Amino acid sequence: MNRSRIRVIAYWVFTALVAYEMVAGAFWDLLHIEFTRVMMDRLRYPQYFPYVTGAWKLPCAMALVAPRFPRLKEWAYAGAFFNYYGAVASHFLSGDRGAWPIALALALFTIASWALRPPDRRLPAPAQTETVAASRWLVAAGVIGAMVVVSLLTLPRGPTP
Amino acid sequence: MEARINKRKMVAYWLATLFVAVPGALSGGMDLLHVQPLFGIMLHLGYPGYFATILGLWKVAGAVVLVAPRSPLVKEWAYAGMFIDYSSAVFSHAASGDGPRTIANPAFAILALVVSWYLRPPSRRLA
Repeated sequence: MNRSRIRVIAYWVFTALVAYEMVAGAFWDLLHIEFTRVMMDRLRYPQYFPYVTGAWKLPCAMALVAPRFPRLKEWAYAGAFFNYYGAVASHFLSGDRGAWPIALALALFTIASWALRPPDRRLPAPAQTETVAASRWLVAAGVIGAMVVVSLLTLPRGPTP
Repeated sequence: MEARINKRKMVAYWLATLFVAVPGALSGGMDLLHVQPLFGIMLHLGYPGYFATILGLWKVAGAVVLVAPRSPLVKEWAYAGMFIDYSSAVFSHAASGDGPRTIANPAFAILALVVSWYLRPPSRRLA
């Protein structure tokens, strides 16, 4: 396997991990499940805060997985980074030392996905003459759809341990 | 004629940018140092005091990036971050039952932010 192939695979692994966490997080937040409510109390955030963060998480995952839209991807990366950085800082500053390594790992995955993004997902966008094949859009939509299904089937029951 | 339009665009760009960056830097500083009146608003909205520290650092950084020359990619991140910040502020005030006058402040900031982003000159823009 040559280096550029490894690079593309690594890009998709990191991107999928971040996108899946965003899809699952959107439902945990917007459905206001007990896990989220308990976590908000523990971090001393208001209970409406999950709606603020959750609303942008699904669009963020879609922007990261979809073909092209390099500028939208930069905004999504910025939002994802602020989200995870905020989570790490919140766990530390509130004295809750449990979940920060996962949030830190996701912040690093976000940076890794950004650093490895291929040229057609990068600004300044190269001149694009041909249109994206419909199959690539279908794959992207299918990936997000599968993530939604898995997220809903694996919603945590009960509070965070 | 062309030059005059460009000059008007630049004036509008800088007015909008400073309208966001100057209050952004000041409020970020108040957040960082836990100074009133902004710190009180943060607590009134139900956020923990440490959230002001988290936000303040990036608000000051975002304001500096918007005013600084070039670095168009970093500017895209700053615009994204500030949009998230101000839209969250609008939602938080609404969720806390605050009146339209308090909501108007971050709403105007969003408007200026969009104008600044739209009018940013070529040296501050990625193709």
